[in-house]
Amino acid sequence: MKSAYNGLLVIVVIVTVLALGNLIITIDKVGTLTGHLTETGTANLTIESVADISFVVSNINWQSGRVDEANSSATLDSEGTLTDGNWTQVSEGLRLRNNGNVNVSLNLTTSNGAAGFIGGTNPTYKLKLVENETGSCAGILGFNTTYQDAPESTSTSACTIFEFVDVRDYLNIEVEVVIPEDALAGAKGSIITATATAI
Amino acid sequence: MVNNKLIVVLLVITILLSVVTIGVTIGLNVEKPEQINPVNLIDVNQGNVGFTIESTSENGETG
Repeated sequence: MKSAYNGLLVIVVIVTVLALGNLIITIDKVGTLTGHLTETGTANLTIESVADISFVVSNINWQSGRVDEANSSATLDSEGTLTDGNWTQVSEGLRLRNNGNVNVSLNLTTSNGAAGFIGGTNPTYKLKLVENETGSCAGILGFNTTYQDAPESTSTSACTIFEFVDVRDYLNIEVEVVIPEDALAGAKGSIITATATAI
Repeated sequence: MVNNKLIVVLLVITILLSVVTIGVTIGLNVEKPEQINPVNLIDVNQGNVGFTIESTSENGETG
């Protein structure tokens, strides 16, 4: 009977030692992971990614005018061009800035095309993108170099990597329209929608 | 009889150590990663283009 007690005592001692060892190892690991058992503190914070674009210049308006009597159409753009018509010259296009803290892909779409926007015979409605700050589009810039047809109701890639860094986060969207002489009189308008998706 | 008391004491110590170990483990301050809010990852903005065409004889109006 006494030897049985001794055997049980040995087992209990072993279990106690194992439990003590387990506790020591756990405390040691906790100290390593969090610094709870060291003299250093840990400060944690999380910065959320936010896609945020805004039009610094959101409106182009050539005001009221007509095609010159001797011409079949007038050409207007947001870079100062005004030929064969008496609208008001516009020298500044839409200005789009990436105000967020993350690079984004940029898509553009327009609420209508040339026919719906202007009407008449062979109207044109085109866009062109230009970097206002060099390097603003680190990826592929769409609608670049020359004016290209407005993307009516079709979201089209304008910049695959639109940067957010302050010195390069600024794009110009220039607009060109050709107004035929037979386009119906009245107010004409188009909405350009820019969609930014964080990448 | 001495062994009996020793065994009981050791068992109590073992149980206490286990409870403390569990407490320390539960006390681990493991923070969950911040959930990304998908609403923040897309932004849409709009600009406007416009003009007015005056009436002329060419566009079917008086002019």
